[in-house]
Amino acid sequence: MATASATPSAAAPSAFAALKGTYKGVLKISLMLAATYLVAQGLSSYLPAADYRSLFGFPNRIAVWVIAELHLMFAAFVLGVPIFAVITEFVGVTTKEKRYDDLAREFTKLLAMAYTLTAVLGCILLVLLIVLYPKLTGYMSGMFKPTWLLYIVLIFGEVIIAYLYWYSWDLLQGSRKKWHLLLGVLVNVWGTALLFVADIWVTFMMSPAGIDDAGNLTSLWAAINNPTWMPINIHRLLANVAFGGSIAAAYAAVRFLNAKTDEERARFDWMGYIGSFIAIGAFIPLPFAGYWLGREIYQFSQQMGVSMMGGSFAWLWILQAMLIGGLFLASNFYLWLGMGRIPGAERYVKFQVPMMILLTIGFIVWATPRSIMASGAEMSAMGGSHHPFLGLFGVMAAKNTAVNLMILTTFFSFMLYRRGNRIPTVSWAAMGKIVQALVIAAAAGVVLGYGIYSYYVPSNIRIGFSIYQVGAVLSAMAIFVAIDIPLLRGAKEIGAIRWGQIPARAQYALFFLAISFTWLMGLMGYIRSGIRQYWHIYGRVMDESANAYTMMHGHATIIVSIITVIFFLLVSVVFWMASRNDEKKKKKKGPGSTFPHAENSECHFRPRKTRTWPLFLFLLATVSIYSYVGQLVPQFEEYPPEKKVITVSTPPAELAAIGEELVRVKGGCLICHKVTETGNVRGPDLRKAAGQAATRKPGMDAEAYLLESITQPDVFLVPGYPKMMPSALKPPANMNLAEVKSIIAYLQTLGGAEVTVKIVAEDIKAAKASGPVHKGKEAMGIYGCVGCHKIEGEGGEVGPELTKVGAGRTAEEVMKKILDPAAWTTPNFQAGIMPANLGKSIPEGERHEIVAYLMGLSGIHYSPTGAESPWSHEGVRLGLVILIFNLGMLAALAIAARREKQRKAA
Amino acid sequence: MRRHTLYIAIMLWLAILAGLKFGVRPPMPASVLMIYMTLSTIAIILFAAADEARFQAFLAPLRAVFEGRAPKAVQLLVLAGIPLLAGWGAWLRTAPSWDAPFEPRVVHPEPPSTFNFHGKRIDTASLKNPLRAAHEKDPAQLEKLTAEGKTIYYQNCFFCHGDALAGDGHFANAFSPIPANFRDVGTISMLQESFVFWRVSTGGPGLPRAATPWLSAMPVWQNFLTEDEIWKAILYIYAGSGSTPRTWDEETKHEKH
Repeated sequence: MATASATPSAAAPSAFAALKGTYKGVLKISLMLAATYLVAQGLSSYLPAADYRSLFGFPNRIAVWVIAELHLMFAAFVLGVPIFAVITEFVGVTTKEKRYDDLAREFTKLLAMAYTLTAVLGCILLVLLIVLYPKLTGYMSGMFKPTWLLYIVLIFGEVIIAYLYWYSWDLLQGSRKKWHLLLGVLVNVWGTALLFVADIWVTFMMSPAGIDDAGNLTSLWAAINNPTWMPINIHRLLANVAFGGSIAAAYAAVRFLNAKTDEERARFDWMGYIGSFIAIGAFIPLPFAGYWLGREIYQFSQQMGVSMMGGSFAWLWILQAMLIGGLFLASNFYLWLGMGRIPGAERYVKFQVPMMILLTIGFIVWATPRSIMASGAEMSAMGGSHHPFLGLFGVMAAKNTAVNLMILTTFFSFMLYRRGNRIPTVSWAAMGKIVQALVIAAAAGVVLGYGIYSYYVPSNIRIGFSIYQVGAVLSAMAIFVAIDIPLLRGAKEIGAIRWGQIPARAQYALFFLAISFTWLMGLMGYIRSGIRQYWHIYGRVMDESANAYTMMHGHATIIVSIITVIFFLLVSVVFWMASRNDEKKKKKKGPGSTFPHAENSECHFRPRKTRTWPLFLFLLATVSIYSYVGQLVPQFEEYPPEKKVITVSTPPAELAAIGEELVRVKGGCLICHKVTETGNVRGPDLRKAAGQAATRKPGMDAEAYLLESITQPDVFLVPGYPKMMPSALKPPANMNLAEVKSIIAYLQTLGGAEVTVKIVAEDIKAAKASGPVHKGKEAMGIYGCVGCHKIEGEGGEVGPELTKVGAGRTAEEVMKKILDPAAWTTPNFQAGIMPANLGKSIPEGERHEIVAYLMGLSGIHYSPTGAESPWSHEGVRLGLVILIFNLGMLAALAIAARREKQRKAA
Repeated sequence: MRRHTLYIAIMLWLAILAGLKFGVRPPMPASVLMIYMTLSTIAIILFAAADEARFQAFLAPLRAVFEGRAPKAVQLLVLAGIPLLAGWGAWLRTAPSWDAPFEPRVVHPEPPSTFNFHGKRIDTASLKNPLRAAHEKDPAQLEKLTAEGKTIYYQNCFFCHGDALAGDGHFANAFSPIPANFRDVGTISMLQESFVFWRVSTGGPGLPRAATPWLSAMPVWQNFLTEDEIWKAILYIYAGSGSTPRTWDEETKHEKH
């Protein structure tokens, strides 16, 4: 890892060095992918086949959670930093100030190693998903295969361009700078594409689209462009920049606190300021992007929306409010402290009082919970579970107003900071200032006015107001800046900013920003993922593992804190290596460019021996406070709905509901029968079954007839239908009498009649626990294969017996025949009996289970976890492509090396 | 002025506490007061620390006490006062009280994805008011149905939810918490009709655990009313309280204009 960050200027700039550095990145990623593939396949075939596995008894969900979140944080960092690195570089080119170019390089330096760590974490995550959640991962990767391939291509592209960007810094200077800038832009284009592709999978699990009822893909584009895809893309893009900026600022803060010279202090003070500026600048539009995402979630599923904002997860929003309010306070605090090092800024200290009052009131409104915790006495005093007056603060209208005003205030702080040491000299200065003040006041007025007005209009109109509020704030900011730039042109400078002369607590504020951003990302990620509750893919694929429950908020916040601490430990390793290389470089080359700084003047800063431990304690204290608040909110675990059990006292309505479920799922009845206008007509229409039952067989009442027709279907055949139905008491349905009776109850309600069927004690006794059944066998029951095919002595005789199918056919052939029944026809059987779409309607995972079961009957092993055996064609094919690519790069490297030699010789 | 910074801060803190505790009626619950005071404390300290000169002035009296430069009496007062305050806080937290425990109650519980209505399975996500859908273009018919809903409301709901639909019916004060106030912008106007239908049909017992079903006296109305009657009553509570149900379709339309 250390070698990757070898500074580009260590050797003389050359194309060969740049290419060599880049190839190292490619080699690293190739080896990592190969290792991932081997480990994942090795573990999958070594561990027993299952839907869910755990490693060494460690909860699989928490393992995936921690690694996924860490991977995401590093990815956010490596995607966010290049965005502002290239902007800073561009500023350096336009202003011709070398310090910007140095800063851009300082930012980029943090990247090289962070890339490696991101990739390692991504590979671990992939292994965990394949090993711990084989079924879900199989389903997802089968559906999104094209996007996976695209992702791998993008990763290679990103690595090549990013490393090239870093290693060619010195090479592409001067007249070639524009090519370097282009590289920087390309890094961001690829990075953004990478983010968008990864978001596909995440958002699909939240708001699945493009699949039919059976879970088969109908439109890949619809699945990709699902309702929450774009909102999350935008939200994450902005958050990445804010996050990257805050981490870069934290890095600067640490370097500042450990700096030995005034020059170093000045440089890192400036870097911290730029980092925080970027972080807050990107943070300002974030609430709006989040609001859009929230809306999409509500629109996709009211249930998911309500559980996010009003239901069980509502309590976590108190924490979110606390964090966001804290971010606003800390950033203003930092700016105000920073004004202490700007000569002339004391003119604006008077504004701090009203700004602080506004921020505090905004924070208070923002943090007022919708669901208030109150004792019985307090509740009756309030007259309900929400307060008649404070309740007004709990709703979105108040929050929008509060956050807009806080944004406006923070913006104003920034503008005062900017003006700190300058006195406008243009003739219209007084007029300009008045207009600026009016614009801010007007925006505040619009925000407040609409905020209050929105309580008097219906919600569908109210929700539109947030757009006016945001619009007012954004345009006020734009107008303000548009006036400010010419206003300050040629302004008189009172004195230069005394970089480096800022109290240590300002650096702690920067560090706090980084901790809070990180924690906030962890928390919001948990909320976003948690509102799926017991679903893997919301509403479609249920989590059937023991970890399907929603944990207590207190537990979740502790895990978020642990992730945050691990992240900072890992990041500090990256930073430590970066600064170590710095020192090496300095020893080699002597100090680089100097940053303008004041020598030992009246500096507030008193250097101490160590400044790393206090920072670590500060980190622990901050995350502990957040987790502590997480313990204060109500705690409860929520479990997936229980499987219903039939008893003698089950009310008729519930009995019918259970029956309906059985008809749909376990019984597989709808393969031949229909209960709605559209449906299969191989058997009689079930809507009429109960009504006609009484007259079907003379001397037999309706209930007895229905019971017989389900348990002994061959005794009486409805005219016009062949003998093809298996008894419900035998496989595939394998029901007990109680279940059959609940189906009768359902049939009775379906016919519009009263439920008359009664469950007696004997029906339930008949339910016997069966031993573990092969998942493939179960699937064949569920999807009705056994209705026509006989296996191990059970099943229908419409189609050929399948007990020994493995002896004559390969697994691939069996799979092909399932998917395409018309592929060939077994001799002595009629073609076209098996429905063409039947096989396709079986989810992929279960299809593999079926093949595994059938092959297993003939003693042939077939791995049901996707078709991939350890040496499946696909992985090997991909590996070959990557290998050829590596060879190509090596060849290019060799050519470059030769040229280099020739050049040196010349 | 400057040398009184610390005292001004303390006075301000006490003033905020007094204002929140005695100035807000009905009194705010302790949990909210705690949030507000924590935020006020942080804001005051940050403000004091945001300017170097101000911060030094703020710290000066504290320094004087802890570095032993202040008068003995003041030192004694502070050094004895801090443990006493901490002790008082501990006593307040642990002293037994007769108050009922806190009820963490969510105002808008999440509806289940499906629920049973007269033995029929109802899918919450796709549920719409059939009466509103059928007669959207026929205001006269909708008005007639609303009028029928009003009768149903007065025969069943009025006793608790009140004449003005403000949650202040004759029986209202017998319940804790009191029945929902439909005129409050935070209640039905924030919700889709499907949510209201679920709440009415399954009543208190239908609430999820997070919404403390034992704290709702709402009957399971599907045992007493037909589907049509419930939908009519819902038409009335929206019309009568002057609110409209939340719909996402209209919003999208609204935005497109």
